[in-house]
Amino acid sequence: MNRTAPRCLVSISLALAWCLLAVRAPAELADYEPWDEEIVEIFKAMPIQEGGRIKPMQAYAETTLLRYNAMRALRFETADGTKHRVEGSAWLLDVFFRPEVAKAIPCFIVNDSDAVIAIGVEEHAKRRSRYSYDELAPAREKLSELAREYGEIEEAERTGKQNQIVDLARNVFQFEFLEHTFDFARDGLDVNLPEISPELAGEGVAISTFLENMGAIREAAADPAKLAAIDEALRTANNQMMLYLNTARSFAIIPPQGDDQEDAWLLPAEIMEDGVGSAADGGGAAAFEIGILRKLEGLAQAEPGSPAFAAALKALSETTIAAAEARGEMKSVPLELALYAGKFPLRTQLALVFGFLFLAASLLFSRRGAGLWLRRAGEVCAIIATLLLLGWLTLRCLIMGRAPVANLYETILFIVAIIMLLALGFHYLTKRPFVLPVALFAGSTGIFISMLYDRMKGEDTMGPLVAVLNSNFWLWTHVTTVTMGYAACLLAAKVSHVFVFEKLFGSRNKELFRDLTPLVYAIICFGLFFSLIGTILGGIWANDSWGRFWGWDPKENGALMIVLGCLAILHARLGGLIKQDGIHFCSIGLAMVTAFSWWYVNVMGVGLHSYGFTSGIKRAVWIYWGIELAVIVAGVVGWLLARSDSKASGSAKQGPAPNAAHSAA
Amino acid sequence: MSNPTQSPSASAVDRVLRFLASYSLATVLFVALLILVMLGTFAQLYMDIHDVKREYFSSAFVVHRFHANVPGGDMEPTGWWMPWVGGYPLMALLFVNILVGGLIRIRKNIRTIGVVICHFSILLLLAWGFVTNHFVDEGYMQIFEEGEKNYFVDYTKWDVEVIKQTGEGKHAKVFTIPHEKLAPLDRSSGSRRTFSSPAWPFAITVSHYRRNSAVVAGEGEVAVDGFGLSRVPDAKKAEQNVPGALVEIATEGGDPQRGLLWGLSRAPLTVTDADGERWSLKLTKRIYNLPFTIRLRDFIKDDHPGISMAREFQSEVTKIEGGKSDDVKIWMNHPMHAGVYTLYQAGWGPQEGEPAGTPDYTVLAVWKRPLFSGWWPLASVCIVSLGLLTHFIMKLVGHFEREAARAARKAAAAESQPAAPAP
Repeated sequence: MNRTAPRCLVSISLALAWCLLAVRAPAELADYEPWDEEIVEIFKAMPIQEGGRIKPMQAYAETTLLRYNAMRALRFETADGTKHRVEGSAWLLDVFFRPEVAKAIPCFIVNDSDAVIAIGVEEHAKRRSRYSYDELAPAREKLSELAREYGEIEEAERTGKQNQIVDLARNVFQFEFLEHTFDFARDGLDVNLPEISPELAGEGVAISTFLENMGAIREAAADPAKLAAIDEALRTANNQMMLYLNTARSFAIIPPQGDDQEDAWLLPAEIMEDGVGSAADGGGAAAFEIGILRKLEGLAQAEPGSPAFAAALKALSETTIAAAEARGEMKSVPLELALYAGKFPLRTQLALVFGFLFLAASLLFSRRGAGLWLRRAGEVCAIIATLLLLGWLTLRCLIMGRAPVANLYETILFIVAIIMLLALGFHYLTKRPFVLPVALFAGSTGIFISMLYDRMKGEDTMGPLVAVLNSNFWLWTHVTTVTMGYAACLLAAKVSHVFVFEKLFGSRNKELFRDLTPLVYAIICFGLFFSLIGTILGGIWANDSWGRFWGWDPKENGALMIVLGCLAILHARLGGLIKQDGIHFCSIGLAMVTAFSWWYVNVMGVGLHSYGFTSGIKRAVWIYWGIELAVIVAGVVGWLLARSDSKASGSAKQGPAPNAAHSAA
Repeated sequence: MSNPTQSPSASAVDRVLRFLASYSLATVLFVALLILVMLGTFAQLYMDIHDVKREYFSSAFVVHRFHANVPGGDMEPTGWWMPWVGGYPLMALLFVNILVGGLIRIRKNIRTIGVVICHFSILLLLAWGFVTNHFVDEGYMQIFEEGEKNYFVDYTKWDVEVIKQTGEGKHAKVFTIPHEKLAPLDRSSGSRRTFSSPAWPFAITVSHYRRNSAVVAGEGEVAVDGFGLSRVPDAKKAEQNVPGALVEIATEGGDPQRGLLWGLSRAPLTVTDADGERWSLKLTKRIYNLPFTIRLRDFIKDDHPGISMAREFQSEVTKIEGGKSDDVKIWMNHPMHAGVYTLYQAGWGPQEGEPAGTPDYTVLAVWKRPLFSGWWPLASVCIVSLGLLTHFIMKLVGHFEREAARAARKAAAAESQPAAPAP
């Protein structure tokens, strides 16, 4: 085998690995006291309801931080030179209970310093940098004004700077709400009704106490002599409560009484809104809810990080966990914690990258000795990566109770897993050495894209489904089969890249070329099988959901185009229209069709499968098309040149052509 | 080379059959279809799906006009265009190609059984597509809670109804000028067509038919009694288009009457014939009567906890037919089947922007199609799976057998070589 291509691939992957592992320059902060590990562990495991599902606080913390910071953890350096790494849950503890510290931590990513210059904030030395709330706060008005102005422009039409400002404003203002989430528990109400209860006198009366006494307050208000004073006291309390009602609604932390899982958990603000009435009735549910409010108050008023704080947090956590368990809603929380603790994205990526490096390096050596050991190491890494992917997907299945293919992020993971399984299968069945490194490279690219996508979206990737997708049967049958078709087509294209690059780099390894072509053909057959069946199954699902089998919707068209592409390649080969090189060029073209179907049609903004606009995806697909088109053109030019060379050498071997006179003679 | 004993006509037929059965034709058709589907997909960025279906996939020929984004998010033509073959000829030729090549001329033996099965199932699917495209009525019914309906209306087809009034608000007979005859009048500005019937005492000439129009006080493109009819750009969804037209009614012995028909007009256009009989004309979405009545008992929208995303929406309805009532629940992915009719949960309201106090309502999509046609695709998918599996497994087994034979040959060759002399 020619060794130029593996060398190039090794260099590319080393550069990629360096990019991935490069440490970012930390920002500076005066001082930072890390949270006690036990406190962080209790806090991250607390169940809440947010975004339509029950999840651990860690999920909420990491998604929020991801949106602000483009990373799930913060890295910064304090003035004394200490480097800190703060994970999402610890950062959220800061935001809730040490807001002054949180405000000084640089957590808002700005990709282009033009955005901060536009709002009048002094830019950092680096164009892409993280800013703290304290740095941005003086420019709050300008930020708000510009965000309002740019918000009126369609997202697709905005410039990069305008998008940055809109995103930054959204994050900064959400941060402000977050840091005030527990104000109600910390500050309480100013109520002065000592004649009703001695506890209702002075500043900072606990809201739980106020709600508990609502019945007595109402009773007293029936007395005309007391009505004016009570009215005045309630007016003051209500004004304060109005502020809390806006901020105490980041997530629902209070499980409702009863075991009906369709009942939504309650926000602290909802307890304040509704609790007044229920407290007056003296119902048990209200007593439970008020009990949780009291625990929240105990937590917010304790010294952050102190033993009292830890005890209050533990008491709150135990109460909510017990209530959630009683409702049968705690099953997915430990699984989700295990998912985060497993660090699947990073570990899978490492296994894929190292597997690729070992296998690519093994091609530089002979098949024995170091080459054999490197190959074995690469195979072990590939198996580990596949097991990690399967574990990752299985955990997601168990958490969500559905097939892990309902959004674009999940399809990336699923496709990478299928590519790895397919490659391992082909590797052990055909004993060809090139399938596995190609799959590892493709898998690593896929995981890298999933990480980028996760950062770009900055949202919960395990969110609930819209009504039409809420069908486990069809997700497991139609979506998985279609996605397996995508995986096969992409793998075939990756193998075809090896063919094209090997030829471009001048390899004359005919045995390799002979092996690659039937392999690509077989993978395309596999792709056709799943694409065709998946597409027809999709039609049957559409028939049940929307009343028609086929509606020429962009997503349906995308799936059909893959089927047509596969069929065209297979029939063209059978008819002799394309041979060795042609199959590989067409296979790369098929990957372009697959990318169109997988990504582009979802962001077109039309049709029944439109999953919403994600900035940058369309451009990324066009860039991918450009690259693949360039590969095809380069391959075709190389093929034409090689053909003309072989013709020339063929005619040179045959000697000069006989001239007409000779022929006549 | 032709067979000397064969007649020239037989040879020509054979050549034609060979061409129709060829892999080359199949490849060209697949590529042409792929390009058509891609063009039809891009066209949906600026055209309604119904128009795309008609112009790209239910046509013989299409001219694709390239569009580009302009500031503001809209798309405008670039001036570049590309002619392409429409869906009908491509799919018809593909049908013939599969029939001739994949079923008739293919060598039939145990090795090709999977391929034959696949081709058969794809033929079934194409035939099913033809049937559904030509023999299906599709529409919707909007029912308010506690309300009932025994008809559904088409999404995009508008007919002119000619109704003979018999007084007291009752009408005796309804005649229609169908959408299929009206729609072609929209193609050029001067198009007009006269319709008559032995049942009518007049002739109706329709002109200035505009598939999306507005009626304005004053002039417009054509005006009658101070109101003008103007064309407006197509709505993003074809079902939101409101057509309009000018009609001239020539009664025997009387002066011709002119009037505007408009889809949203509340009052019909009325005409009195020579015998003093009153007739009314109105432009209305096509109505299909159902043999049963659907009554909406309750509409339930169930959100995911804590957010406003619908987890489920369902209509609890009662189907009333021949004095018999059945309670049925229709929800996403669970339609109601009733003979040739199928009712699906398609929408609900009131939606944002509708007047306050609008009661809950459901929108059910209704399809009328040939009996058992719903099972057709399911049968196809089962057959095609079987065919592909059979074929690919046989291929795989063949591959491993060849590999094993090659390895055995290699081993035999190595054994037969004389041992190298010891150093």
